[in-house]
Amino acid sequence: MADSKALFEERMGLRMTMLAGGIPARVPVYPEFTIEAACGVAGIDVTRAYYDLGLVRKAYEAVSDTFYADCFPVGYFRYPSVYQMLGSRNWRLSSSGTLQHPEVNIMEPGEYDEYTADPYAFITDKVFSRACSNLAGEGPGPGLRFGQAMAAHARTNGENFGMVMEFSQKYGYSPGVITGQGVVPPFDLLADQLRGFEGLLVDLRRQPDKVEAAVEATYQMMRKFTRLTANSPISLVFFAFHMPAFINQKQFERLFWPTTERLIRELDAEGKPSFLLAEQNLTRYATQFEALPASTVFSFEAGDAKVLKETVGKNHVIGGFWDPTLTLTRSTEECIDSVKRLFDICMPGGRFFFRYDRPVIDVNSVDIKKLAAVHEWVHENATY
Amino acid sequence: MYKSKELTDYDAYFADHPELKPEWREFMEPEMSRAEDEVFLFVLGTVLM
Repeated sequence: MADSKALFEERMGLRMTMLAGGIPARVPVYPEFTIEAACGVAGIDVTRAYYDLGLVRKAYEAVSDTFYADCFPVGYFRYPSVYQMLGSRNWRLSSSGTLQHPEVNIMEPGEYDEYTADPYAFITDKVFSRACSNLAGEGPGPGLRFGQAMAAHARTNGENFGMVMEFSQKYGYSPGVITGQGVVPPFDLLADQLRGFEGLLVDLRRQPDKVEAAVEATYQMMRKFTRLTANSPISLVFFAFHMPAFINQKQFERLFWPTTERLIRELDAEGKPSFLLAEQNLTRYATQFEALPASTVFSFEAGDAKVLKETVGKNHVIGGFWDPTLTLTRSTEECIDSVKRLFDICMPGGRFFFRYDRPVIDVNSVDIKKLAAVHEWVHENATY
Repeated sequence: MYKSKELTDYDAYFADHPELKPEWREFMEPEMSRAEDEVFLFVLGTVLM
């Protein structure tokens, strides 16, 4: 326990120095495996683990014992059983055991005015029964099933995060960068959950004014959401940017960015810094990103690391870029060389952490031994 | 299907239930409001997001 306490203090020191814009002793190692990949590392059938937290514990142990990490290395926060109780269309379990979010079109193109008038009322009155088959119908059934799912989520989530805290204590993990409540940019909520990517892209051409009004109304709802979520001072509010890669600069500047930027600035003013997961290559938005509060942390899936380091990374903490699937086709030395090339660009001046471009979602997409060797190399050699 | 606004219109709710004494409302309204916030977080944070 004494060792894990010392480890925690060292790791927390690295993290806080990095977030404050100082130069830590070394680059923090913040990998992420999904529960599907973690079960793969442990040799466990994930479809059984979803219904048995004892197996989830074994998966956590396997990843924690195999890979060096400075934070808890597994992300598991969507529970299939809860979505099955709801009869959810927007979160579905595939036959291989991956919880998928398929393209859904739950709101009709003619319903913008009704949605904009009161988004939450629209969601509870209309979206629920369309998105979740078990919440449709008359009588007490839908309400009872909603209560069942909410209670099941509270219990499972409590037990799961209890285990995460237990592992953090045992292994001396500090928080990493994914630590706080997830918040969806207002434009992304419309695209990802209500109109679907395809539907929204059509609406952008046919009724952009309606989309703009709906995004503003969604912002008001998301603002209430962020006021209610109790983040601790050391947490980062999590944003994933889905749609910016699929829209043009003009659409981004008019419809995506204003409300998202406002949310991030308001959170910063309340002492809640944000973590932005930039999906796909978003280098073209570097000007907007670099103007965000200095507390904002970025992880990039792709893009020009040099440009992003010299712009966004000049005053902000950044990470990401590195593709762990390289381990399948390259030697360990070649993998480490690719990490070295990235670190030569991103390490100078601090404000950098080691994270994959995307979480590992399938253990067969990586070579476990080579990946573990890369982690060790970063831990032992990426020092300032 | 219920209308979501009915849940947070406490004046209307308590007007419909005159048997609930004012001192009971002092306790009930914040309790109902907190529970509604938890439902809101579950709806947006889990069911939808």
